[in-house]
Amino acid sequence: MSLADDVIDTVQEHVIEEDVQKDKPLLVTDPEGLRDVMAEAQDAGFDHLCFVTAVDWPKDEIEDNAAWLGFTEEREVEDPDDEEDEDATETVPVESKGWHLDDVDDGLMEVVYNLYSYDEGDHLAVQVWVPREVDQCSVPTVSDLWAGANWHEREVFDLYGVTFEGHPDMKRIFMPEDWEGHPHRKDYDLGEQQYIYREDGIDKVTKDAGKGW
Amino acid sequence: MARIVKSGSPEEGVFLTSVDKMLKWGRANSLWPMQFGLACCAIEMMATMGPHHDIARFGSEVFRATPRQADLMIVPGTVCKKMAPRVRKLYDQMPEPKYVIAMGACASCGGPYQNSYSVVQGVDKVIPVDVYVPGCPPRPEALLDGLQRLQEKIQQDPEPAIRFAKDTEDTEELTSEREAKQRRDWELGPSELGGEPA
Repeated sequence: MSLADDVIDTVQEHVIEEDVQKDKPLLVTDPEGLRDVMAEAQDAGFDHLCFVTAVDWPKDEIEDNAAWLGFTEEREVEDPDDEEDEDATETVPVESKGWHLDDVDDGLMEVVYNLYSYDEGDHLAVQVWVPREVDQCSVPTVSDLWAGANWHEREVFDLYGVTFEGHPDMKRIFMPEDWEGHPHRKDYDLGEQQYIYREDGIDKVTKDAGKGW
Repeated sequence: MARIVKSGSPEEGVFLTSVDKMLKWGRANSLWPMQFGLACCAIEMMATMGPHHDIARFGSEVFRATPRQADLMIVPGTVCKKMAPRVRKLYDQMPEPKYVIAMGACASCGGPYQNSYSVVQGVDKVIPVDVYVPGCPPRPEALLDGLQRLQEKIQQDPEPAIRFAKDTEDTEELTSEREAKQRRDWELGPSELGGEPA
């Protein structure tokens, strides 16, 4: 039995879904259970957090990929009106990743953690799905468990706008501090360019093309 | 460049030329590039430095680790917006005369990063460029070709080889004059840095 199975068994109460993708186990949890899952994973022997990243899912893209994401399911119609057509199916909305498609307003943000054990060579992916609105897009930090998570979480905050609660230094890591928006979000406006210039040894942002580059 | 002196004549072993031509010849054949890299093009630049392609054949083997000793800035790779002020600073620190090769698609025009939030659409928005080398990344042969074209350009430059800069202010003037001239050369039109082309 692999380390990942151990973890999944131990934190069964927090596991919303489990899956195996490309031979690597994956579990979906919620923001409330994330800390317990990650602490348990570290105790079990996942000593390396490979990376933290996110996937932005605006509502329309969730709807386009609803079946693939598991938000809808094809079911056979129990009592078809037309009795000859016994194989008729209907698309039924179902709960997936802890969310019902009707409860999703703007869309969802999928935060992904990839764990690795040097001793066993095992992998485990952990997913959390949170609302993608910037003020609600928040998950607890794991930077106290793996020190390396500190900068990974700042990167995800910078590019996706996910806030990590309890992080000791939650600010941008790549873009200047006064940069507007989070560039890897699907609705980021590329039409309005922002430019960077230096002032007093600090990178500043301007929208005037003549002032910065 | 020099007047040919027939063998056996009393003038044998003597070349006659102008100081201007000699300076330009020397300048073109000892371009010291600055040692810095921005992206994957830098790997090809390093291959150009190596023994197989051997940029030393063209007098440019002395890659200097400081801009103050370099004549040539090869911009090898993607210039992102955060890097642009630093590239400009390094260029400003190079002594005159100085030349720039934009190596690869990214440095020439942004390359695959069109309409990107983070990439400057060509290093010519930041510093004046003499030679653009296409490719993604260009092979070492292409960079050597770019270097040879720059050498031709230096030798055929109609401006006098010696120009005196009396103080810092004049140096800055020289730089801005040079940028204006290069913009005129390449018909870039009004720069995004501000100011009309001369």
